[in-house]
Amino acid sequence: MKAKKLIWQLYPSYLLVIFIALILLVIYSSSAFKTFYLAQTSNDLRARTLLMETQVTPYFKSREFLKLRALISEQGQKTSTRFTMVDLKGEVLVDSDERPEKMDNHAQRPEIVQALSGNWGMATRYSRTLRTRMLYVAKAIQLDNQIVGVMRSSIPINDLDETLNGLMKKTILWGVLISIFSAMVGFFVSRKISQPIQEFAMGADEISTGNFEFQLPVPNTQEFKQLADAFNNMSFQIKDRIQTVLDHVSEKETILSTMIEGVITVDVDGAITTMNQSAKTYFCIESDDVKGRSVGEVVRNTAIQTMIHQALASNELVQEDIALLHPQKLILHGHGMALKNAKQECVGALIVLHDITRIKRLEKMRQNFVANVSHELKTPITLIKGFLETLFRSDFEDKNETEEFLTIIQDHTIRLESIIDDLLSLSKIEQEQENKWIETERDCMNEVIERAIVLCQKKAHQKALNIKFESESGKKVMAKMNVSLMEQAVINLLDNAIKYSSDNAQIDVLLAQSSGENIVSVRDQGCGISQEHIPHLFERFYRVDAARSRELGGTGLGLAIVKHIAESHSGRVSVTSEENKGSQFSIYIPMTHHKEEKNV
Amino acid sequence: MSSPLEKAIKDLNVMFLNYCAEVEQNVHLAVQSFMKTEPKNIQIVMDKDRQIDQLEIAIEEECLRIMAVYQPLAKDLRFIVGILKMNNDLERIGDLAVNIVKKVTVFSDRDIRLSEYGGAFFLPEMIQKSLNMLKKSLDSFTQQDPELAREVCLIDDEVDALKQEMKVLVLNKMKESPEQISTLSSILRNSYHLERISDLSTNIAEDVIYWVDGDIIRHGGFAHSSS
Ligand SMILES: Nc1ncnc2c1ncn2[C@@H]1O[C@H](COP(=O)(O)OP(=O)(O)OP(=O)(O)O)[C@@H](O)[C@H]1O
Ligand SMILES: [Mg+2]
Repeated sequence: MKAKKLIWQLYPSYLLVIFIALILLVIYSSSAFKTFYLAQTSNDLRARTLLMETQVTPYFKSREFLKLRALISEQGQKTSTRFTMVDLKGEVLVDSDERPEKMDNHAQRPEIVQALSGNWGMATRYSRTLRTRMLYVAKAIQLDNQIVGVMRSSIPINDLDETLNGLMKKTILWGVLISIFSAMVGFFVSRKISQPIQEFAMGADEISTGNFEFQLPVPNTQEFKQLADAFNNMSFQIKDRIQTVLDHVSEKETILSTMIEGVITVDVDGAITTMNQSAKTYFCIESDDVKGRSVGEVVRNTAIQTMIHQALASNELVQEDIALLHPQKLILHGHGMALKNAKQECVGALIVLHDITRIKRLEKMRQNFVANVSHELKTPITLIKGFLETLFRSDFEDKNETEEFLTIIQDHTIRLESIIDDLLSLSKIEQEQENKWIETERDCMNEVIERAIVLCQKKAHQKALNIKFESESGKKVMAKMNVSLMEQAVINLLDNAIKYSSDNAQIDVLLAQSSGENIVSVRDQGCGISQEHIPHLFERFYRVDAARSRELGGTGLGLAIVKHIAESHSGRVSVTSEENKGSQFSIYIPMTHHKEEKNV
Repeated sequence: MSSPLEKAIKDLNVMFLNYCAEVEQNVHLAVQSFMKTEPKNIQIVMDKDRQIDQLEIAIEEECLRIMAVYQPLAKDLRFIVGILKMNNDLERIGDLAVNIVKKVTVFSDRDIRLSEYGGAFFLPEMIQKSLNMLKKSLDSFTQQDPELAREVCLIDDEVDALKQEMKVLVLNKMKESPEQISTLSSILRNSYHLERISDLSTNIAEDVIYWVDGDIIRHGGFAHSSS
């Protein structure tokens, strides 16, 4: 059903009320008017009748009807009244307007009947004689207390009908005018009522589209004012509530997105409800709309799914290590927990994932380290022990042999010593680093490098290598550093470059500055390192080719030491290498390195 | 409430996703074990493959059951037929993972590292490409994305080309150093296996297109629909 406008609800009832009122008014007023008019006229007629009676009685007595007729006609003309005289039988004796012969018997006329019985006779009737509506008043004429006839006077009452008609027309005209007027009034009134209502509707629309700033203008009708106040208050409250909710949500989102741990929540069907950035990074998920999709779809990993199932099914914390092979190699430690609502029903599960790849790798490194140390120490000691036993058994008879054996023993002792030296310096740097304290002084980097080159020159000569030093700026570079450690680092790099270069090659040492860092690079044209080893180079005891390196007297600690020295200067190390072409190792030391910085 | 058919299809989907994950993980484990020479993983991969075979049978039975009981129409029917085909392809991919991992013994026996073969020819590249194809084909299934599936069909040619180049290289190397023939042949065999994996991934991608769009693009039909 189509809703009607307010005005069409109001206007017809207005009209109805107006019309009923008008009709009642007309009916009442016309009847009152009629009664009044008739009463007036009949009184008037009575007076005339009485006047005429006195005049006609003498003629009646003498039965001079011709004279009587003249009188009556004259009087009738003068007063514009019709006079009629009727005898007892009802025959018209005289009439002011008509000849009596032409008139029929009047005995049955109600006014005559009434008059003959001695009262005033009165009637209104359509006169066929004069063809108008007439008011008749009749009175008996008495001679010597004897009724001899009836005197009747009458006047037309057309006027009355016309007046009443006119009255009716005017009333209808006014009725139409009033209904037009009332339509206008109704229109304004309904507009005035409906306008605030429309504003409410508009306001409600605004709020439903999210504009909580919207305030209704307050109308001056009391009821509407209350409503508008309530409405405005409501929109304010809603705005407030929503703001709180939004704050909570964005707070939650910020917390989740800044968390390093990956967080995934699912509902009971295993559809994702939240997945934070870290979790997405773990599984290399790029798409933003993971909400509502199932975990199996988004994360193709059985371990995660199993974990979610366990978490959903049990009341306890589920813990597990998950090794990812793809899309990237990661080891994650997952905690899973069922989520409960207020009624303690399970509504989903929460999975928190920690990336423990590094920890696992360090753990493995430490294990390897212990194994390596023992191995590295064990080999020379076994050899020394073996040769010593042989010597004792041979009683030092063969002088040459004894000498040879002792030389071997000496070599291995030196090797042992160098391993232990390396280890000691490493642990020393590490400790200092841990205590965040190394002694630094401002010194010239060029000099440090030149000293290191001089110290390596002898070895380089043996392989006919040429070491070239170049400072990019051409000037002396001053830096705050621990001179002896720095020298050690450069020596280690040079040592490697010499060891892993073939004869007659060139070694370049470069000192450069870039983005607030001093960079010392050692470049060789040696055997290079294949890509897969590069991430591990700086680990302790890591050697690309254990056999070859040992042959060259390497322990695999050199680069570890370089890295630690760089780090204790708040710096870092890097390497680029191409197999069979050469390598370049660089140490980056920040130009201004403060102790405070290192504390961070 | 969803209809019983919808529920059955949803459960089948979950089951199949799990199966996909198992196969993909096993392939990765096999390839990694091969590249890093980790013989301890051979048994793990083989055991997993046995589970995968069980899953395959279960999925096939479930598909047939749904078809018999609910007689699905249109897209539902295409989905189930698609799953049946993919199921088959994935099972073969699973078998290839076992074939790949078995070659680890060759290396561990001789204590030779793959890296000694000059980066093992194009093996790393092939591995990267074919595993990426597998990933993308499965992603196209989970995301119902025919565009992604079409991408997979395009990479297939690259893998084929790589396989051909590798074959030439490896055969030359065999002539140079006949004593390494068994090692080299296992490298070659694995490159074939990888190429098979990429073929099967292409099949899967085609099944996804069939399921989502309803057109069959196998056997050259692709050339028309991609233009
Ligand atoms: N310049 C280089 N060219 C090629 N390989 C290198 C170079 N520098 C280091 N390497 C590789 O990195 C490995 C680790 O080097 P590191 O200096 O730590 O140990 P090392 O030289 O073997 O022993 P040492 O402790 O006596 O220095 C080496 O075994 C070598 O294989
Ligand atoms: Mg060294």
